[in-house]
Amino acid sequence: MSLSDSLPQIAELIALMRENDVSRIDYEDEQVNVSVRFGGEVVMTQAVAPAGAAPTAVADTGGAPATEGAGNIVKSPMVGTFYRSPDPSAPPFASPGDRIEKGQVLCIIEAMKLMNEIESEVSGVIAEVLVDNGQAVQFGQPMFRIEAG
Amino acid sequence: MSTDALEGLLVALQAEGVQLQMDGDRVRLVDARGAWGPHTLAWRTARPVHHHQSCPSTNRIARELARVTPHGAPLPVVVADHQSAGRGRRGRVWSASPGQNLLFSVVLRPALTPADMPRAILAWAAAMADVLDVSLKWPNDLVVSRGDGYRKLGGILAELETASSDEVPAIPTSVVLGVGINVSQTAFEDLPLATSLALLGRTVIDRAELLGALVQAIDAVDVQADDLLDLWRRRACMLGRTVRVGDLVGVAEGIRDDGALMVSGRPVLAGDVELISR
Repeated sequence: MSLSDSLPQIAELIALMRENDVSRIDYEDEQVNVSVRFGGEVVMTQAVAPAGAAPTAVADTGGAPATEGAGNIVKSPMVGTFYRSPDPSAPPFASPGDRIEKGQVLCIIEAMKLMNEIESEVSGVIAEVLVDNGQAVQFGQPMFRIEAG
Repeated sequence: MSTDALEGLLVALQAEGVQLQMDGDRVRLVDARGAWGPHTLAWRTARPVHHHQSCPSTNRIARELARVTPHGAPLPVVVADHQSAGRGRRGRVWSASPGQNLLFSVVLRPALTPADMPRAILAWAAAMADVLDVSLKWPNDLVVSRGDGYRKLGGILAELETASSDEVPAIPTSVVLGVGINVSQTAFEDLPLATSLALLGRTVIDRAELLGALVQAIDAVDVQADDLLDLWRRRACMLGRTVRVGDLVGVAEGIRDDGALMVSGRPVLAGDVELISR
């Protein structure tokens, strides 16, 4: 991945820094690994997306619409725990290859026992689930990639 | 309200057990203890009430109502005498004997972003803990301290019902606060940590009055207040104790302003807190 390809991601990270009181981000270009430092106290490492699978249009950084097939990224609206199913015994809301409709529930984000069902804002096909079940997600962290179809 | 509607309401209240004395145009409340039903509950909570003798889950019904309640309209409370599929966190079953406890869901619309909602829920839990004079286990369990541990009196399952922009005018984002409080149940099969107001030696003569006090305490919370979490901090148990949350073991030091539990300097945003006996 070249630096110019990464620019939208960097722009998004800077926006995230402003929103979340992040004091430092270490960016690694080859593996696209990012270390994020919050207020100088908590450090967490976050793999933005696997190399090669990273979509070209990550965010609306320049106002340009996402091109056909580039995919829509569903981001977390809050910090919390990511759940793929309504309860541990139930099947996932959405898996790669699933056709989903606008308004359909994709996952639950839990923060302090507040359950937030995240609905898809578009119709399409799940191309990727970017977070593991039960994993912590940050504000604005990409969770799904949905391709038009 | 028309005279006919008022008369209808008074008849309905009497049918639910509210004793009224009618003297011409004057109505005097004689006794409402033990009265129970939709009209009594609406009067006690100062909200529209949807009462069900039995329903799968009050949260499910409240979320459906939140989805269609327009901006500015009074926000409902859903009350059930019995839940056939009551849910706790992550699908855990919430069991309750019919008619012995309080099971209700309150629809709330605080002017907050989703990221700020959790702290409001802590504040609403604290308001209820204050009414019940009990403690809080992070984030929002209603508990009493017992010996080296605690007993659970009630729990809260909050769900966000996200704004729908498809409706015109748009329906705002709601929080559905599902609450279960053990009132007069005295036996809890397979739940060694459960307790009830009856087991604590507190006789509740009027469940409707208690529900009204809880809902009105929730409605009195100013979610914009700078000291929003002060009451939670005063009602907290476990602070200063060694706890385990997931893989993290440390001292529960307090809560941050966003509601996160600080465990030995690290913020915790989700997970079950267990006391570690020392």
